[in-house]
Amino acid sequence: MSDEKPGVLDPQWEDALRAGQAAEGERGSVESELAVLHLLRHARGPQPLEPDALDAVWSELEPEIAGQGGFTTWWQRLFDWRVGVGVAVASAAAAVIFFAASPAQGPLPPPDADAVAQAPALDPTLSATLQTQFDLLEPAARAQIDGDVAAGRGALRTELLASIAAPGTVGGAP
Amino acid sequence: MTSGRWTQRLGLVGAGIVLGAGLMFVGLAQADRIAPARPGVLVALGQKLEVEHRAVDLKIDRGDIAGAIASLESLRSGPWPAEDADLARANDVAVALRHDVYGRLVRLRLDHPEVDGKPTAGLLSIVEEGLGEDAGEVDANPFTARLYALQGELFEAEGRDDDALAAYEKALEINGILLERELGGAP
Repeated sequence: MSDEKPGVLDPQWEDALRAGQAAEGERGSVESELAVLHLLRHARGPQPLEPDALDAVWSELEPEIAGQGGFTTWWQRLFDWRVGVGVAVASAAAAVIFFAASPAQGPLPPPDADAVAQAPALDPTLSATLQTQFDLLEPAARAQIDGDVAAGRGALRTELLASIAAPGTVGGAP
Repeated sequence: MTSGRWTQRLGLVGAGIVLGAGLMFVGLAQADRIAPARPGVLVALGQKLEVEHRAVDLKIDRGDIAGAIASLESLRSGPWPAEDADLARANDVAVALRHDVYGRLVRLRLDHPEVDGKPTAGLLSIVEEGLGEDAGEVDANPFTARLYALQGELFEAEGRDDDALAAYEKALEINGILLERELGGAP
């Protein structure tokens, strides 16, 4: 009853991923899994960007913001939310990579503008982001459903045993 | 004086019993120890779908996409509890299972348009059929979120951007709840 699962923020997940990679002779990559862990950690305790990194993000955003005053046509609005989501996902990926690459303590190195520009490994569309989220959440949900079905099976078994044990249903032998 | 004191004590004991029973019920419910309503229906549904999903996995592994789609299509009219059954309204698991099947079907059709292709409007009607009238009432789960996300994808393909954004927002809202539960360690 008291077997506790480690939380998603527990460093032992990362240790286990690294150990698994080492055990398989460094074949394959766990970077995508680690990126998700870092993203979750960042969501739990957001870390502010350094001024230079913030300037880099703003330099991406400013051209999109400029000239958006007054009336906007339907195609401009269409462009808005898609590009906005793309920039948001790219910024999140850049932040994750930036913090993952930096040491836990000590001064941060200056951000590499080229690396930040090339950082987004995620598909910047919302549907792809949602598919990624589904892939992450699906295993636990399936396990939960399996548990519910097993609970129902247990209830059926209990009902059956109760019906067998009920007075008038037991016996047959003289 | 004395009888009043005894009445007060009995009242406190009664309130304690009621409170204790309530807490025990909530605790058992939180620990998933209370069986869902009509367990026989849920067990039969869960077992049937487990077999069907495995068959679909096998067909996909063999490259038989048409067979996998046909298997999932056959479930559309298949094992779902009737609208007026207690289970259909009360048991979120059955609804989540339905959303899972419909989501998998639409995802497969979108990824393989060359196999028995359907127009976007036809796929949208499948999604709406899968969501049903109870999608907004079901407890947060990733299968419902995926179905909303697929609806958004299809709306986007049709150029209905406002509808797409609304569907995406529903999916993101559900996933946000699930992520919050995960981060908060809630059951």
